[in-house]
Amino acid sequence: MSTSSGHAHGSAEHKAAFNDLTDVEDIRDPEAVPEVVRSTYDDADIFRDEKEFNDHTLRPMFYTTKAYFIFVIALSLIMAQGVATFAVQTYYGLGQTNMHEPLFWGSYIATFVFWVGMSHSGTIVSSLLRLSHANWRRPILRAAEAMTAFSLLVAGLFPLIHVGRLWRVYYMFPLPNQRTLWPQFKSPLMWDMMAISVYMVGSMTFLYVGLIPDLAIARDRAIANNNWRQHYLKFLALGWRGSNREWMVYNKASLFLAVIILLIAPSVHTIVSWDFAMTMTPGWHTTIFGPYFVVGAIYSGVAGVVTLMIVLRWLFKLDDVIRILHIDALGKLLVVIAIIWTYFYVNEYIVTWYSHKPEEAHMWAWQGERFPHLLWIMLGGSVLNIFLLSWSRVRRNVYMMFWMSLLVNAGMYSERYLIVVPVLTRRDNPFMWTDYLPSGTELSIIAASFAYFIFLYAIFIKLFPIVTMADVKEGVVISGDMKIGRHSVRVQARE
Amino acid sequence: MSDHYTVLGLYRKVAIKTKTVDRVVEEFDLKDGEIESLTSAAYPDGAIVDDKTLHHEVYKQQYLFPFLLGICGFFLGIALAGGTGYIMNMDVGGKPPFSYMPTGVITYETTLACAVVGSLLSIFYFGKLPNWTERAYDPDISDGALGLLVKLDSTEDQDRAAAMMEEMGAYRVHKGKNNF
Repeated sequence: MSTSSGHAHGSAEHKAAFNDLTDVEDIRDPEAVPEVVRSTYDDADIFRDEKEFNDHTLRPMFYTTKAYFIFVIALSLIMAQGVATFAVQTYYGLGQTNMHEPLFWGSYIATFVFWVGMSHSGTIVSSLLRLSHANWRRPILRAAEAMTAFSLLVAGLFPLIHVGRLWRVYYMFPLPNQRTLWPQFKSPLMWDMMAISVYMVGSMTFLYVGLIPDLAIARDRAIANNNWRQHYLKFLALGWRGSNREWMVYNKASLFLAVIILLIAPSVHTIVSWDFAMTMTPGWHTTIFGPYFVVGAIYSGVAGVVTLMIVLRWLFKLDDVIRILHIDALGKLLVVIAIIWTYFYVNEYIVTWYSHKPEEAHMWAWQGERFPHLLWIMLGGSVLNIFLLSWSRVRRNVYMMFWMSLLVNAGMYSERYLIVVPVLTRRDNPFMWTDYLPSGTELSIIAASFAYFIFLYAIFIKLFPIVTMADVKEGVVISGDMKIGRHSVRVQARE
Repeated sequence: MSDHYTVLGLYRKVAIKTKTVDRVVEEFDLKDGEIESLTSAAYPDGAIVDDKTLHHEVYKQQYLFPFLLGICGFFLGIALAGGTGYIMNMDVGGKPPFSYMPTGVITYETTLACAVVGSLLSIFYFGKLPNWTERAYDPDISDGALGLLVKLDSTEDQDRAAAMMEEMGAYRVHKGKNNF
């Protein structure tokens, strides 16, 4: 037995009730356990009765309000204008954007890097917390994993949008074609495509495997209510019954996948960074870009998870499932990552500053001169986070956390923009120097990408359980209260 | 294949269910593949079914799927990146036809991609999924009931097992045929 989280209960009533406990199982049986013990149990976990818990956590899936439909229609309209704009861009060409020689990478690539970054935290956090047996992970895993999958789906669109001649994209795939072209794997862009495709396969698999037991619960509920969802739920649940064999296989496969995902995820953003770092361009050609991008991605992703958790809590009244405890833990994680990210940023700056390499020093100065507002959002958000999130009062304030998580992602989007754009506007010869701001076409497509992400999430919530129910239940099965001297502490069994 | 008969008992408490497991395993000399515990959450291995009826091959063999497919992915990566360099060489930045860096990157990714596929296939193979046929099950299991499922050779044994489960505290018992 190892303690996972402890809390003291000193009342005589509680002690008397606690003495009666002989079996962890007793805690799950409302009739067998005195109220006082159950109430303390509820404080550390969430349910008294499994059926009630299922009803509560499946409510976002089975119960839909009019507001939801209005929201989805609004998102669809934003997406539709994005698709229309993209159609115009495809017809008339990339001249619709403000990208021009020598600035061929602009807001599309910055947004692509942003979405790949957003995808990072979901599965990394999920795998790390699974492997480290962190008990607080349980309810939030699904929402985080889904965020990864949908961010990647959005990110994957940007290279297609960016190339302009969409119909030539298939040259990048290892497929026979009429020009007998074959992908040249010597280009980091090909590595990028490969890494993102693999990450997408891995993340989708990870998400799906984690879903299987919960799909079975949802399936049973849908069949009982004769709900239309039963058709696809029956299929996707694969006939899961929760047998001992199935659980053993599931747990082992989840473990394998967690390890594999931990190997894939850092490689993806490292390779994205190599799109820049493998060029000889000042400001991009640096060895620190790999880890810097990975940390930035995790930073952005964790902030994204915080935003989503708070929105889910608020929209679906899941306060008792996604609790302050989780927001607080994610806040602590954000502080650690913010410190590491700041360290990388400062390190990169100091090396350039002290060595006084003119072309790079000029690049840094140009960033501050041309885009001071973005620089302030990026640095301000990060530094502010380190100081403010160090206070538990701030971490436990849902409103503060919501706005701070948004600030982090505004900062991280600015960071991506500052990496891509300033370098290209001051490239090589001064007669090529230029300026750039995204055009209406670009802004419209970027706005549609955000709407698309939220749309995918909104649809997912209506089709699949958003809370990792089986994991929460496992936490209840293997945890209980244990007496240590005068106190009782929450303990969790580990094999 | 000869017919088999099943009994599914539903319990509310783990302790009672575990006692029933011990008794039916002893009474009917059940072996691996003849008894199953059905739950809505993962219990620690061996907590409910006893060691004799635990699916040991899962421990011994499941890792082989991601491992072997990972090896296949490794060679696929070399063939894809290295092979392309040789067969359709394009001089890029003075890099040799077989360039370590791209081959390493592509091989790393294909190895892991195939290991992911291997992990998924291991669920299908060892978990005997998907199986959409009508099998012994009760939706109460989703809501926290603990199911104990046994596979027996005759209707006499089936009746005895059902009676035993009821006597040991099962609140509902289902009997079935060829639906283990």
